[in-house]
Amino acid sequence: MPAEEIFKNLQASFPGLARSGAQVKEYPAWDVPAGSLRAVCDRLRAKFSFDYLDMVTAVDWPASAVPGTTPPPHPSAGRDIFELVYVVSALSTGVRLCLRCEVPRASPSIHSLYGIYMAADWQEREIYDLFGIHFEGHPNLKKILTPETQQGHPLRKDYAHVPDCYD
Amino acid sequence: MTDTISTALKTGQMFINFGPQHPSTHGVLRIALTVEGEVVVKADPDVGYLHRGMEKLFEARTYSQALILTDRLDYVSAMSNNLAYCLAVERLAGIQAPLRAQYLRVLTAELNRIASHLVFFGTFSVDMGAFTPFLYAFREREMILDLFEMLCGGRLLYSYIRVGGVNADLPAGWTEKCREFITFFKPRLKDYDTLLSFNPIFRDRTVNVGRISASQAISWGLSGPNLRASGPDYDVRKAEPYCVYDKLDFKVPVAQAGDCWNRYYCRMLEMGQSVEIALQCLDALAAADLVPGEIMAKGVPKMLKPPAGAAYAHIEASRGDLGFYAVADGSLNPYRMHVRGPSFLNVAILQEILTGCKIADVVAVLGSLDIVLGEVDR
Repeated sequence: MPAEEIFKNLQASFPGLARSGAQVKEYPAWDVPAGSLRAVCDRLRAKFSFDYLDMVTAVDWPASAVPGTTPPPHPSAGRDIFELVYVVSALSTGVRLCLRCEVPRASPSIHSLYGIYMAADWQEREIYDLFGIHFEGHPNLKKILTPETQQGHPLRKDYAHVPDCYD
Repeated sequence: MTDTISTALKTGQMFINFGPQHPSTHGVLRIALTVEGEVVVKADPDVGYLHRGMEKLFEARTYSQALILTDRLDYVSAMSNNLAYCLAVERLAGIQAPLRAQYLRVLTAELNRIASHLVFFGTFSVDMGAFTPFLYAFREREMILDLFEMLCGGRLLYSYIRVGGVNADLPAGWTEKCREFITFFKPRLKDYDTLLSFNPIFRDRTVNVGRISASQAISWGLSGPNLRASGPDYDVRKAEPYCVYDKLDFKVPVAQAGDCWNRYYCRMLEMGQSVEIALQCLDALAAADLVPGEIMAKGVPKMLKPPAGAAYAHIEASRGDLGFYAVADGSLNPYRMHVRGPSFLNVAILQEILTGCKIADVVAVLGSLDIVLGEVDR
């Protein structure tokens, strides 16, 4: 089934679903309300055989990247959000989709996909570690790449390095 | 009486740190093992010892400067990393590399795949207690590294594939040397089979060990030979052909059992297919329609400034599905660059499949997944 038909089918149950304004080149991209992400993925996997979670990542769009400078010319710039990007695909048909979610920077939290896709396990831990986004329902949400002593979340745009004994 | 016997046989649980400096972890990986006698009851892989903050470093460099960082992700097959990064940036900027450059990209990526699988073949045999195959594997790999050195000066970290094309055309005498290598290498694959693949001791250590079912492999996001050894016939080169793979004739080896031996043997068969692809590329490069020297897209500025937007590009690297997610904000540096390293996902499944294994099999299972920690930790 082509992506367009799946989109129409899903939109009946999830009215918040929309074609994304910020496109990802070569792939159809949809905006998914953060609250219904898990339900959408569950449906995609059960009904449309999207069995493979390719990639999960996040992008930081703070209100102002560096104080005193103008935000970059990007539709998401300056909106004070974290953008979460999921790439899911159906191995049998080869259809690949980008799902975009937005969570507020002040209290970043979203449902975990652990259980639907086990590939979410470490990828979500990585985002938790580097961006500080909380994944509700993840059974083992702890730091994965940075050391325990690490302060802050390095991939946030406002991250400031705290000198330690190695500096 | 029976009570005394059962308590006498019962052993308590013991905690073992496997690594981070264990030679069979192929880098710095620690697996926290809880064992009961010989059997692993819980395995918790701990990564991050090699974390260099690559994704942050990308943001502080221009697009052409950032290329050298990709070499250092999966340093055993740097060509694939260069290629995936360049494809992502080319998508962002709307650049199309010339045909000759695309053939050169495929040729070098496939030669690098052979070199990378040879490292796997050598180190996996050492893990399994056979030292000799290692020497043969590195003899052949050395020839490929010599070819790469002749081509771009680098033996491990190439930065050969550039945004818009490749760095240099084939130097004089390179094609002959490459054909010489292929003539030498093709019969060696049979040698490896007699030396290791069908050796009864090696098969005892690997057949039916660390089995991964097809549904497990898909759910955990495995890719590359690790996925195909379990049954799913998924290869990015076939599913979503990039460069010139749709013009080339090759097969994708698939197995069903999903055990260590099949993961090993899928890679051995892949080397044979890579040789075929390399030969087809050499023929195409010698044909008259590809003008030597046309290796760079016209009008690619030295200081690349892609328009604001996002792009995702992925390729079949030696270890699996390697993807780059790039976000541009219209400036000289990438706003965000995420690397989907296949090894990062391949190592995560250890927590599930090591449970129930014997301690001695931990080395076999880990070795058969063929991870590179530079790509896991980034």
